[in-house]
Amino acid sequence: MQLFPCPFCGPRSESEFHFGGDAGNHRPEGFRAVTDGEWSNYLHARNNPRGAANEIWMHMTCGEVFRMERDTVHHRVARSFAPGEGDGHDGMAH
Amino acid sequence: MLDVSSKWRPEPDWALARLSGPGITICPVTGLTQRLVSGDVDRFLARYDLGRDVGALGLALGERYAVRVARDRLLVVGVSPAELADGWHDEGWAVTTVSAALRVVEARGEGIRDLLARGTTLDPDDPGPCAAMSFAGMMATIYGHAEAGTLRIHVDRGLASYLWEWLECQPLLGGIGEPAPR
Repeated sequence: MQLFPCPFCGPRSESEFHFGGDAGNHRPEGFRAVTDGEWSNYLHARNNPRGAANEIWMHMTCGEVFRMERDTVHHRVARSFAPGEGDGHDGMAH
Repeated sequence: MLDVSSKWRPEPDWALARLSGPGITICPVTGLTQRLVSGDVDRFLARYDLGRDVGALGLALGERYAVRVARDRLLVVGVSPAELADGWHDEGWAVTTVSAALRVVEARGEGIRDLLARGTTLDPDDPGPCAAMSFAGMMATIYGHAEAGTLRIHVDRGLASYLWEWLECQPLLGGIGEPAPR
């Protein structure tokens, strides 16, 4: 079991969290102007990095959606922060 | 046709239900007024003179108190709809009555730390500011009430029967891994 740090609740079991995708994977703006490639990339292409990862997670018990920087090799969590924190680079569309 | 009626056991009689084991007693708590308040929770707490909100395993005192369940949400106990109406309030919060949506059980005794160890992964010495947590695999709101050694657990009403069955199975309460006959 891993402990993930919810920015509000603090360290909690990984089983309380839900993965929300890569940080910065924003829905393409524009309706008809969005190409099939852009839409497909948004829906299906994932970073899947080996090492440092930048992800969106949700803490299911409190509903907090946040960004977490962690390492996919040794599972160390570098930091996590809520929308609006992290110098404005929280990776989420507001 | 497949008869699955035997798959689920009837709900316990909540007025009479009681479990006990060495150092712990568990019984339902009925009749609590429960409200969810979302928005400017600090302003709400000051407006209704509720003091500080209670976090995970924190100690709530009296019949009126507020438990923090999210960054911007409180579970408020004991404040009646006559005093605080449901809906949006221009002061900056929204209120929903959930008295019938949540079932509450109370555990007392020195065994509650063992119960917490069975039901959660929370560090009891560093529980954090939010009382919403996973307990026995489901969402619950858990805090102390009235005195150290008393724990209140709020769960969705539809999951209360499962919670009771889970409690019946615990070795701490004399269970042997199977629910007791009802």
